Amino acid sequence: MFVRNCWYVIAWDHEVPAGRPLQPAPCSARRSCSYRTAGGEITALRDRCCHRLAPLSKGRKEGDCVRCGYHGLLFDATGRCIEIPGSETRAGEGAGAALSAGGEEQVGVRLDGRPGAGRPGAPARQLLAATTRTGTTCRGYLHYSTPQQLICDNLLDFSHLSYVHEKTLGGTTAIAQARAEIENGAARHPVTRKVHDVPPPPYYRAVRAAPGNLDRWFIYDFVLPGTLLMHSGGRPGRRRRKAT
Amino acid sequence: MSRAVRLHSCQTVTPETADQHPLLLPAVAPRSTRATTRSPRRSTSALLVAFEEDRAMITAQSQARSRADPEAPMLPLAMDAAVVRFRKLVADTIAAERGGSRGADGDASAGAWTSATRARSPDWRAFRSRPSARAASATGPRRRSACSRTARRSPDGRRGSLRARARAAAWRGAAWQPLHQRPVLIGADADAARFHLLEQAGQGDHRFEAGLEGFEVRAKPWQRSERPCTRAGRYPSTEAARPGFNPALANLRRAP
Repeated sequence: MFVRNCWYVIAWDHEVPAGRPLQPAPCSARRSCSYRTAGGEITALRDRCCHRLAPLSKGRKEGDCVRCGYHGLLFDATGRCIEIPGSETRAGEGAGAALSAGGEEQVGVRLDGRPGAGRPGAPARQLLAATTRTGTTCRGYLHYSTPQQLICDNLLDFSHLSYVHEKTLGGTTAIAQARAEIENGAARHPVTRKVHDVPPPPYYRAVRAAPGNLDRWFIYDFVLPGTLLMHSGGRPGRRRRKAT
Repeated sequence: MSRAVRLHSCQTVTPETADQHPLLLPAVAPRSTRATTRSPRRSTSALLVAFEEDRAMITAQSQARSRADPEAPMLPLAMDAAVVRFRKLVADTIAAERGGSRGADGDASAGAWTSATRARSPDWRAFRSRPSARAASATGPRRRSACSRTARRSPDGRRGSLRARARAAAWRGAAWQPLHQRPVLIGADADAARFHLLEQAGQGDHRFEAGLEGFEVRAKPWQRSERPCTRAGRYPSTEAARPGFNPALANLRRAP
């Protein structure tokens, strides 16, 4: 059971190039099939024909339309079935395979098919733009074979840093002991967790962190349907700052 | 902040099938303001090690749950506050969508959903009409809906008052829970109670969550017959022998 009235990220922008043959989205919410129209707009259809539920990604593009590779039904870019071979009738509005799609850095779909307000992953795109200006960026996918809720639980509670990531991002049990401050929001709950004067985690050796204890902070925001925005960091602890 | 290290990250979970969920890593950007990172590749690979640690733990957790009892209750603790709130947010949003009450321009991620829209949901209206719906939110004001004050007969001609129908509907929603797990028996904190019951119901069953709204989920003094523990802290033998009895939960309920 998923929230439908939300944007789900399904691909990177560069993964849907113009002129690419049809193929399922690399990261597909309810199995979508995305492509660019002649005007460069990204569109996404549910990856199943309304006739025999064959995947539309096995079909072919005809202009801005998609023809099912099984029995030849033709769908326009809005997901409406506009032609049925050997029949004068049209399948009509309700028989389409529409998903709303759009995006710049990321391609997203809405499961309810409505265009909706905003663009996919707007907060994520802002963060992406900011981070690519300032530092290294890694982009990719991790595939889980677990219920979504368990992943969200993990991302929502950073007390696990102390134990799961003891030798990477954590480094101290003080993170689990720190009390998290949670703000109430309509569709998000920003959480702030701060720890003071703790040894730097092993991961900080990979970046040029100052030696000695640090004051660390974790500020994160979990937005429907499942996007984590996180800002964390560390700076020399109070004692050291006073000493200097 | 001259020697600070900052890490910006954005991750999004996209459901693929019922149990396949890619986690997209749109941006992970470590940055030291003192100098640039020593080696971008090294810092990135160190981060990926951390992501693998998470995946290993979550996968093991999932396997352990499915191997044993998928419906076994989790123990809600203070550290789960964000989890509880987010689960409630998801359950509320799904319930609102099922009610078909959201506007065409509504966008959950933009925060356009309001309690006013939720009140238009038929299920929500029915549950609010129950007198004990005053405890639907432990923090909310006590109020009765207009229909519960005035309507003795159903406006649509069906038998029974709205109140009686709401009560029946609410009980139907919870009837498949064992008696001792009904919301009225759950302890001190409304959010913890919801979390526990959602776990019991199985991962965000919106029907059950909606049913909860009509019940006393706030702190409620135990009835003598309902107490899971004696004053001496021992569990009555009948309680301890009950399937699914969890002493840790019983202790939690005892807490003020």
